[in-house]
Amino acid sequence: MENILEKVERYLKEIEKNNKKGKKINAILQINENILEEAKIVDEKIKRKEAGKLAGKVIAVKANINVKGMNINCASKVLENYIAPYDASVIERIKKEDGLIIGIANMDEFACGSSGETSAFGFTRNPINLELIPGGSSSGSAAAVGAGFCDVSLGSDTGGSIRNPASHCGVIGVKPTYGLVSRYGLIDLAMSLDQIGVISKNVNDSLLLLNVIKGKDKKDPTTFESKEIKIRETEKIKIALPEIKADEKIKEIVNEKVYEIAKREKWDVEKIKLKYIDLAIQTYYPIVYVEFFSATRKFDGRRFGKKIEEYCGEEVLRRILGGAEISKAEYKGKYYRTALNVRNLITKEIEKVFLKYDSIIMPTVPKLPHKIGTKLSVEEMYDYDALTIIANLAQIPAISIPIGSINDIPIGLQIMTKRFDESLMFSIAKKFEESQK
Amino acid sequence: MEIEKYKEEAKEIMDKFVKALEKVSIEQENFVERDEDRRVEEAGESSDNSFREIMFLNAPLKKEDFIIAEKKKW
Repeated sequence: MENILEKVERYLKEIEKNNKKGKKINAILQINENILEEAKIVDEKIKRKEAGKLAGKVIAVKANINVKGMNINCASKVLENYIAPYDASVIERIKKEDGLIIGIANMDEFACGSSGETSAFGFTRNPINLELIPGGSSSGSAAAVGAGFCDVSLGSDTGGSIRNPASHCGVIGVKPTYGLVSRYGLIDLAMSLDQIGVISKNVNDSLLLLNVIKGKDKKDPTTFESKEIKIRETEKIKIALPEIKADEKIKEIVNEKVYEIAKREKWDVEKIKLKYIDLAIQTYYPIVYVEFFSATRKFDGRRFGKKIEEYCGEEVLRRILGGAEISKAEYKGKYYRTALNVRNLITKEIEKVFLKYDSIIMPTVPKLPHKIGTKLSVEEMYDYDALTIIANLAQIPAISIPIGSINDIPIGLQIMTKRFDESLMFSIAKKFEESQK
Repeated sequence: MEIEKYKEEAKEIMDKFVKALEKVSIEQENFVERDEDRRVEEAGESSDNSFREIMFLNAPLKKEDFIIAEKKKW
C-alpha cells in the first residue's frame, strides 16, 4: 500500500507530466517546495499513531488564501511578488491536523470571474474537456481535483465560485453557511458574501475537510461555533424544486434524478415558485461592486504589491470603477442600499421556504461551459451565477455534486439547506452520490 | 487601458440592475444607522519575527527599518 510520501510523489509526477504536454491544464501556479519533507514527517506520525485527522490528505489551496511563505497572488500581476507572511486560520487548522498543502491553485483574477479565463498567469483548462472552461473563480482548485493533482482543495465562494467550477469539472464543491468557516487570511472579494469552502471527488472528503476548517475564530468575528457535521438519516424529508430559467436539458436531467432518488428514499418533492430568484444577479452585483471597491483600497502599492488600478485586468477594473462610482455620496445609497433591501427580502423568502421544506434542489449552473476564448458580453458571463448567487445572498450552505452529463460535459446538481444544516445537506448529497455508483 | 469605457460600462450595468430592483416594493428597511459608533483602536496581536521579515521583503520601497511611501493626499 502506498505511503503518503509515495502518494505525494505520484501527484507531483502527474502535475509535472501535465506541464510538459502542449495542452497544460494550468491548475497549479506554485508547488510547495517543502512538501516531500512534510510528507515524510506525516508518514512517521502515522507509524507512531500520532497523526491528525487530515493525515495524508493532499490539498491544493486557491491563490487568495494566505499560506505562509508562498506567493499568494490572487492570479494577478498586482500581487505577483507578494509572499504571505502568515497562515490563514483555515491553513493553521489544516496543518494542525497534518494535511499537506501541495501548492497554490490558479483562479480568476481577484475572484472576479466565472470562467477561469482571467488569470494573469494563463487560463485554466477543464480536465474533462481541455477545450472548455473549467468555470470560476476557483478554477484551479476544481481542475486540480478533477485532474488528479491532489485529493481535495480549498476554494472561495462569493456567488458560486466553488460550485460553478465543481459542476463544470465533474467534482463536488461546497459553500458553507456564512460564518461557519473563518475568513481570516482570505483576500476578500465581497466580505458579506465570501466563504472559504472545499472541493473533492467524494462527499466523505469534503465532509472531513470542512469539519477540520470550520468553527469559531476570534480573528473573524463573523464566525460561529457549530456541531460536528455528520451524515444522518433522510427519511420523509421535503424537497423544494423551484421553477428556474436554465437549459432545458440540464433541467430535465436534474429533475429526473431528483424524482428517482426521492422515490427510492421516500422523500416528498414539490415544485415551487421562488420569489425574487430572477433578481438574484441584479441584487448581487451592486453589493459586490461596492464591497470589492472597498476591499481593494489596500492595494495601493505602498506596503506590498502594486497599485491595483494600474496592473489589474478588465473585469477587476470594471468592478473597482463601478463600485467607486455607485458608492458616491451623490447617489445617497441608491444602488447599494436598494440591493441590500432586496437581499433582505430574498433572505426572508428563503427562510419562509425552509419553514415548509428541508432542502431546495436545482441545477448548479444554468448553461454548459463555453469553449475557452469565446467572446461573451459582461452580462452573459454574469448569467453563469444565476442559480448559485441565492445561497450567498441568504447565507445558506450549498453543495454541487455531479449527477450526469450532456455530450460528456458534466452537470452539477445543487442542494441547499437552511443555515448551519450542513449535516442534512451532506446527507442528501450522499444519497445522490450513492446512486451514481 | 480604457478607463472611461469600463467606467461607463459598469455604470450602465448597475443602472440596468437597479432599475429592476427598484420595482420591488420594500416595506421596511432593516438597517441600524451607526453615526455615533466608532471602532476602538487597541494594540493588535504581536507576531513573530518572520512576519516582519516577509513584510519587508514585500515592500516595494524601504530604507533601514522603514517602508517608504510617497506623500500624497489619502
